[in-house]
Amino acid sequence: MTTRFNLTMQLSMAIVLALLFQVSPLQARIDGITGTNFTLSVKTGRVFTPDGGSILLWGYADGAGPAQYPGPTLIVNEGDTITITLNNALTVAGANPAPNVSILFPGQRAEASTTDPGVPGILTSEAVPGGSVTYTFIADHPGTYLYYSGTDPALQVEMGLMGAIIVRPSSGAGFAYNHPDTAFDREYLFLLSEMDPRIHEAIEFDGPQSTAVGPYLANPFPVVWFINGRNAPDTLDIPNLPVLPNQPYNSAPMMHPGERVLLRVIGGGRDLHPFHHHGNHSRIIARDGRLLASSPGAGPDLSHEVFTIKSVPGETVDAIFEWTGKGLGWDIYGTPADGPQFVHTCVDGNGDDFDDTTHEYCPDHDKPIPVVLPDNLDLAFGGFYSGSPFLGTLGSLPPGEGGLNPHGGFAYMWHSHTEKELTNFDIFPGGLMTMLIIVPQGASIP
Amino acid sequence: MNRSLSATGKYGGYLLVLLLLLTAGPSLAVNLAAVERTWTPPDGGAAIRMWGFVEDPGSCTALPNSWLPGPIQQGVVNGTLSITLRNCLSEPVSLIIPGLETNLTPQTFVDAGGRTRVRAFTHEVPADNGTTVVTYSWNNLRAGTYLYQSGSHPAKQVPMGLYGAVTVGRDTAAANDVVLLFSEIDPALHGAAEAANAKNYKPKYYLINGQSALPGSAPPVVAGGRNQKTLQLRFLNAGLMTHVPTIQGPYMTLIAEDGYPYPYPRQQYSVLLPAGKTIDALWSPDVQASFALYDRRLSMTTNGTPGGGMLVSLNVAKKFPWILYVPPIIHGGIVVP
Repeated sequence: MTTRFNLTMQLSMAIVLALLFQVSPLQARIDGITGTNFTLSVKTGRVFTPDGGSILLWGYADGAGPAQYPGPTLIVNEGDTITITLNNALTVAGANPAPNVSILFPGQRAEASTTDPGVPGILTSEAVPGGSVTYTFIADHPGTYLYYSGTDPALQVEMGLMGAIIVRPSSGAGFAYNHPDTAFDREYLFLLSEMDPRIHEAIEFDGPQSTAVGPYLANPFPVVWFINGRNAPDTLDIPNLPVLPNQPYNSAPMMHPGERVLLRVIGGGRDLHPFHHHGNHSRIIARDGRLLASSPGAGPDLSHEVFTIKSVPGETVDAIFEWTGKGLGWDIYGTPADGPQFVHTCVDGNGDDFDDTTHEYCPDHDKPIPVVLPDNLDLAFGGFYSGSPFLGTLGSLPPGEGGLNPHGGFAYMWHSHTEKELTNFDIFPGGLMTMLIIVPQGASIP
Repeated sequence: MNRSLSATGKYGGYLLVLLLLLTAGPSLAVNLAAVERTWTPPDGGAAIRMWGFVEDPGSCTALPNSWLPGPIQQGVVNGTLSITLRNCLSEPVSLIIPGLETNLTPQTFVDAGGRTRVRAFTHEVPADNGTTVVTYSWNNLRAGTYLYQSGSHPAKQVPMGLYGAVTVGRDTAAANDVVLLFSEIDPALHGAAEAANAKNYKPKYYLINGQSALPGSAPPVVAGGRNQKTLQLRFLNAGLMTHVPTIQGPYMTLIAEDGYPYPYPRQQYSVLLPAGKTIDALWSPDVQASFALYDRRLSMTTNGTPGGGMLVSLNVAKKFPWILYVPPIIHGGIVVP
């Protein structure tokens, strides 16, 4: 079975959009650091969880910056020679010295440099406490990758030593890979992980020689789960939040109807996290940084749709997500019966069933919402309720309600389908969860 | 690019001819015994009581001591595999190979409540101190990689160690192949196997080919073929947990799952390997070196100490003149290089 995207259609829509709304085709870029030379340092920090927890972190820092969970997202370009110097600035409790640290780059052919070789480890070259090691690799394939500690990984990855790598293709920043069917309008990172705080507490109290940590490491029992190093609802807050000094990245995906959103999903921990995205299916185009292609150059012709992305520890998945409201069976922009302000047209000039600018699904145009809308007195409110079921509409709300959804967007929960992972230390909701916000055309997306 | 595991290709044909010469027919008949042995952890922990399959010593006396997964059985595509099993254990055992077809005759017992319940997937060898031997056969073998394991009380007997690998044929692109069998040991379930209860399964030792890496030491070595030669990696999971074998080196080409070829190969540096699963992958090392192969589910601990567990060194030997290449010889189900 071969499935191809209608690229011509997508490009023409994008051009029309750009002309009408002056929308930059590339927004919401993934936070990270760019370049070819990076200096990372392993330091301690604190991971704060929304249940009030504070967990000892061993994190990769960007040079003199604070430890990060996850480590800095390294954004590089295809073909570049990447040099990464790792400093070991880790401090630990107890009488024993801090451990060596290192980095593995799965999918890359990394080598330690001859001028800063570190010391030999079992999986890769390592930096001794106070020392350093420099790795180089050629980013010869575009795609989504990760990096993590190669020194006692069962402990050090759990402690927080992992991060994402994005290799941008020579085709340009609007493509995931060197094929037109991998074009996207927006991209978001979903680096999924978990922690067993017992391990971190044992290390915090006694250092790496803790005798308590062994049984936990042999059979971990995580109780907090993360997207990009944060638990819900902190995932939705802004990046670089001062109260989360070691968790700079958020996970707050937003999109306009009709856009192609690239999801870069990475299994950063040790457990599988089936990543379920409400709203629509997505199309898997690559795994481990390689297109699902029947032959070289064929593009993602073996791509396939899923509603739960199988995220495997240490593996990466690239998927394209699109949403238009097609198939809902009612007009997401309201009908004249809902009030004169909802009168609108659905102009399908190119015959693709969608309005040429709003991407409204025209076969559902003016179809009423199939429920009797409740009175406000019959509702309980959340901060994301706009007061209206219609996209881009703000309805009346009691004083003090709403406020988090100024564009009248639709919210879809994106979360681990291992439902227990929607908790923060047994408190629901939380954990490996965020919300996709779909806002109408013209609404700005940060 | 379609790929098949058939041994009817150019090199497979040669292999088939060789196998015919060596085994005098496309059948492999071996004698195994189910025995009690011990496995000694690399960290100096107490020896653990295991059950395992070994080459049949002819009786239940003079058994070897240390446990390993059962010997690798090398079947021939479209040939026959027959295993004659002696039982030196304290309870009946049997043999099944998930994925290979044969007639099964489930064995039942009547429980205290008067209910008829299944005890074994197929006919058993009684626990009579090795007096009786029973033969299990599989015909028209399908190319691929399979687990053979006990079909009796498998929730207990398989974790006790009654498992091994079956290989049938070899991909035509591969010059050699290697078995990478993942499993686990929870010592708490091995003290008195008759009373073992798998509901609290918490393994302490994580093994590849029966070996757990010792933290701080060089990992166990697995022969990784020769530089510039394609190697067929046969991943099997005989444990109860999911593992993610990951190679620190060139990508693998995943070609088959459970002995069924993928319609298109997949390029990955890692393999999702749930319990009972087999995956075949082709791997072409481009340098003479040792490549780390480990479980990215981070079962890289040895009794809780990080840095060990499921970690081996895949050693790639130097490029070698093909004319001096000696194919493996089948000897009682074991490959002797």
